[in-house]
Amino acid sequence: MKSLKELRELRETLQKEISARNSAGKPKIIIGMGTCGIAAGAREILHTVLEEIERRKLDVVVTQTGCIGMCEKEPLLDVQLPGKERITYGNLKKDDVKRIIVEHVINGNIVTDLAIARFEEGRD
Amino acid sequence: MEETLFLKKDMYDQIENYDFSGLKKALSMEREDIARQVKESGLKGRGGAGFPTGLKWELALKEKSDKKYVICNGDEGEPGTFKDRFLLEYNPVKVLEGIMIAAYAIGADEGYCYIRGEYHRPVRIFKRIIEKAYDKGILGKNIFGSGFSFDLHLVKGAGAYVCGDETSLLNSIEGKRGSSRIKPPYPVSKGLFGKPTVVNNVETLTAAAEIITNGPEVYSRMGTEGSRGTKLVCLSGDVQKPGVYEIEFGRMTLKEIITEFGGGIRENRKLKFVVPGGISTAVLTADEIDIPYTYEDLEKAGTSLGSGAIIVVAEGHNLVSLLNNVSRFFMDETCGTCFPCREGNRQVHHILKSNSERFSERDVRIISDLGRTIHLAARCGLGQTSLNFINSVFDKFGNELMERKEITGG
Repeated sequence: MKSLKELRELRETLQKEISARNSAGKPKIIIGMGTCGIAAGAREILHTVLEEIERRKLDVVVTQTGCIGMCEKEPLLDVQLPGKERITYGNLKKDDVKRIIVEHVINGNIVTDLAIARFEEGRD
Repeated sequence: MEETLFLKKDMYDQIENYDFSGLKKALSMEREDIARQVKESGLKGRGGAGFPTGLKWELALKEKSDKKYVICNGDEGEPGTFKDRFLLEYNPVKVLEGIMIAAYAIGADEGYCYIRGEYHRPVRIFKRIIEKAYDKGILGKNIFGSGFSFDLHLVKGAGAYVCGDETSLLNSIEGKRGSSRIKPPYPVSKGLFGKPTVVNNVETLTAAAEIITNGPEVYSRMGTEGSRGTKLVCLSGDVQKPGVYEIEFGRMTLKEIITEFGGGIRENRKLKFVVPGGISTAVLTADEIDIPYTYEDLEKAGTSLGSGAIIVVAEGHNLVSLLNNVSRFFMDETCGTCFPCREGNRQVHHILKSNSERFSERDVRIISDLGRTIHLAARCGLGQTSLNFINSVFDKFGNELMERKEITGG
């Protein structure tokens, strides 16, 4: 780097990159990957989610979380659409993942027969 | 086989439906007698350490102080454990009664219920119970005209596993960083804000309420010499029917719990191992689980009953990735006060992460040494037990995890 101009250009390109990485405003899928979750098959669920997202070229953020004390309902997966309530799905099988992605993540309809909880933070 | 219903027998989630007969009975008793009855029942702490509850109450009662506290530990963070959530959601009234009996028994007029931050629903339910109890005069001044007064506060955890350790929990309530304290002094003599404090687990307090209500002999008749009463176990992982089940100690083997209550392994797969008490305990292989479910039998098998979290793991999981998962958990959750725990767990994670398939003998020896060092040097249960799972997996599945030895000479 030799000039102030170059520095500004670099800043601009990197800022774009960072905003692309920023998860705000994107649908989010959170998978329970605590030990109990993995033992119940969470890793397979994670792979299926990643495959589906890749196949459908979706712009979705996939993250993981630990054990939240709902181990009897593992594998768990949460969907958080921007500005919407975070929904927890439980007792999942591979095929359920496809349904959740098509119905909830893409079309915005909660898959009620698979949903087990609404995220209650700040509801009191 | 049927569940032995004691804690799950008369559950109350509405305060209107319960007359607090256990609390009323306690209020008519001498304080010493309450602690003695709990002692006679044989109840041990259900949070994982298994300290005799009656003895704890007796010690706290003997302390001379103008102020004492009782704390209900609902910071249930051990992966695989969800019995306290179950009680707080379905039996919160008995949890409240247990807290109040403990408070009266040790002479405390103030208490805290500390609930895991992720437990939004239990927090909401218990908050309502406290509000209603105040409305009905069950909490506050001169309860049931007995002259006993008690205030209860609800505190939400902020997501730190270490705060389930009682001394870290005390720091957390005081508004300090969640890290453990050096013992002694024990909380019973110098606890919250330096005052004598009893910290009991949710399940322990619920059991204490039932023991006072029904009499200690009902409880001590159940179970074995070293393990009295019942235990809520949390079945999770590769079983058909995960859930909270109540077991009378000694009546079933670990294997029967998994096959009868758990309905066996999912998709008819073969059992690989069982984590008998949460990820701070050593695993048992499929050949080792035909033992009665008691404190003493699990100890004899080289492990512990822990918090009652039974995680069932079938064949087909990647062992190294499971080891990494557990190790990452302890690396993230160590509070960092004792450096062997802080740096040791980091090193173990580093070794595990840099191997995807086979480990050298040296790796395994270092992990085992670190485990022993942390066990001896850490001041709280988190550190002391952090490598139980990992070392036991290496111990029992070494042939799958270690480099094959070259056969030379001959």
